[in-house]
Amino acid sequence: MSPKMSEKELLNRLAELPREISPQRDPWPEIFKAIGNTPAGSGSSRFQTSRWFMAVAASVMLAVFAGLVFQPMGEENVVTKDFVALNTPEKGQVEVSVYENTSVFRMLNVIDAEYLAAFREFINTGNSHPGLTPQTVEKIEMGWADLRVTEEALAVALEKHPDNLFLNERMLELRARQLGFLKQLVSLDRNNRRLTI
Amino acid sequence: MKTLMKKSLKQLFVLSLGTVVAMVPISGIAGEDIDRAVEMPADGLVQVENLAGSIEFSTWDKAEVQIRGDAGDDVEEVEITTTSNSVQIRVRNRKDSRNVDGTDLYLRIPETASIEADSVSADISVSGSQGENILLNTVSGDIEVDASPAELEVHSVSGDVEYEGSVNRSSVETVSGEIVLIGPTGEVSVSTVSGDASLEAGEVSRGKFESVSGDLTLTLSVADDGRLSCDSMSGDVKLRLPASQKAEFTAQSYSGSLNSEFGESIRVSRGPGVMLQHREGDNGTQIRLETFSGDISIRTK
Repeated sequence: MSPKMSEKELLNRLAELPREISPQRDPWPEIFKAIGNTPAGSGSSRFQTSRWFMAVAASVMLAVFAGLVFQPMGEENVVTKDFVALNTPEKGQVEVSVYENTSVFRMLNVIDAEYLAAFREFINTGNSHPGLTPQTVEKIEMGWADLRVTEEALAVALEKHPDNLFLNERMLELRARQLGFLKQLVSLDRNNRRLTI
Repeated sequence: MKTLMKKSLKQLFVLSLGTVVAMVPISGIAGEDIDRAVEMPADGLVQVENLAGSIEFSTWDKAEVQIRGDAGDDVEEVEITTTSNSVQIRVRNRKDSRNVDGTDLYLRIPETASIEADSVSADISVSGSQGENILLNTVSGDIEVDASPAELEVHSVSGDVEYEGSVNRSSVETVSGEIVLIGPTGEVSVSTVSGDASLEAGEVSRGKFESVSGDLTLTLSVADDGRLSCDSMSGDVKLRLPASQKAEFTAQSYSGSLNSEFGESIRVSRGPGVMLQHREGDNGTQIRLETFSGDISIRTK
């Protein structure tokens, strides 16, 4: 949070932001194109892993966009509206609001690139041998499921109390944890592949 | 954590600059015994990479690394590289092997040597080390450390982490692995998603504990001017402090309960939730606990 902006001011600004906005940009066709270009998995384990990666990927996109939503905005940043429709493997199309300004938009492009790079790494993980055991994948999925369950519970609470600073902070923290989760897996995966390929 | 990573990079850089004294690939040893010994500085670095099986470090008073083990059936070679200040041991498996047969490595290293170990499913254990740092990475292997390095950094996805010893800077991250730490002091950082974390620490100057659904059970004291933060979503936070602990306490939960022997919790005036704000003494110490639905309890030891 900007030291110049109090929490109350930030909340007031958040409250002023529109809830729905028209779509201008949808990064997912490119992402699915990238997914489509990767070798198709043959085993159920690989399919499961791929689904898990998709879930992670979709959630990370949500996290990234949410991070932008909650990002404090300085006086020089005039907020405009955007809306992104995300196709997630679990819930179909999910609509996510994005608050966009010039600097944020630039950041979005950078994050898109980083995200795609990270996602390609996950695809490689699924194809690497010996790969992760089904038990490990299951444990990772359970960890991710915990994050998602918590996210849903927080979203319900936030729907009831959208101005609750404590809840907004928890959501922000959860987004950070989701990104941290992904980073940790990428880091460990690098080790995995370095040792196996 | 970043500090340790920087140090590792620095060590790698130095390693790359250092003269390679010898590279000894032990080829074609699948299924055979490994038995080698190489000299190294007592305060040097031992790096080990082993995909599956186990890695066991123990210490002795010699400036030498003894490498023993049972090579798995898929081992192509065990590469031992020595430089002026380090020894690197890499177990290379055949590239076409789908299910890697584990290799068990038993290493005796100088007591003051630093350790870095990477594994995927191999369990890692360290005992007796008093080196500068210990850095361990695994995906699903369990990690057990009984040592007193200056710095400890552990990353695991589903493997459990157990530590006992004396360390002044420690950082442990897991996704679903359980964490048990006994004896750390100074700066302690613990992060888990669904694994429970339990800590019995000495005096902590900077403590950062994060969980999503795992419970945090912490017994410690916080130094003057120290900071302790515990954040959990649905996991419970149980904190035990000395009765004499002085600090400014803040705690809040949205839908969990809050019980404290330091001050009284009150209902949040706007919206649901309970909170606590209490000052005990004036030593600059700050203790903050927050959960979404997890219960918070602050008790005396």
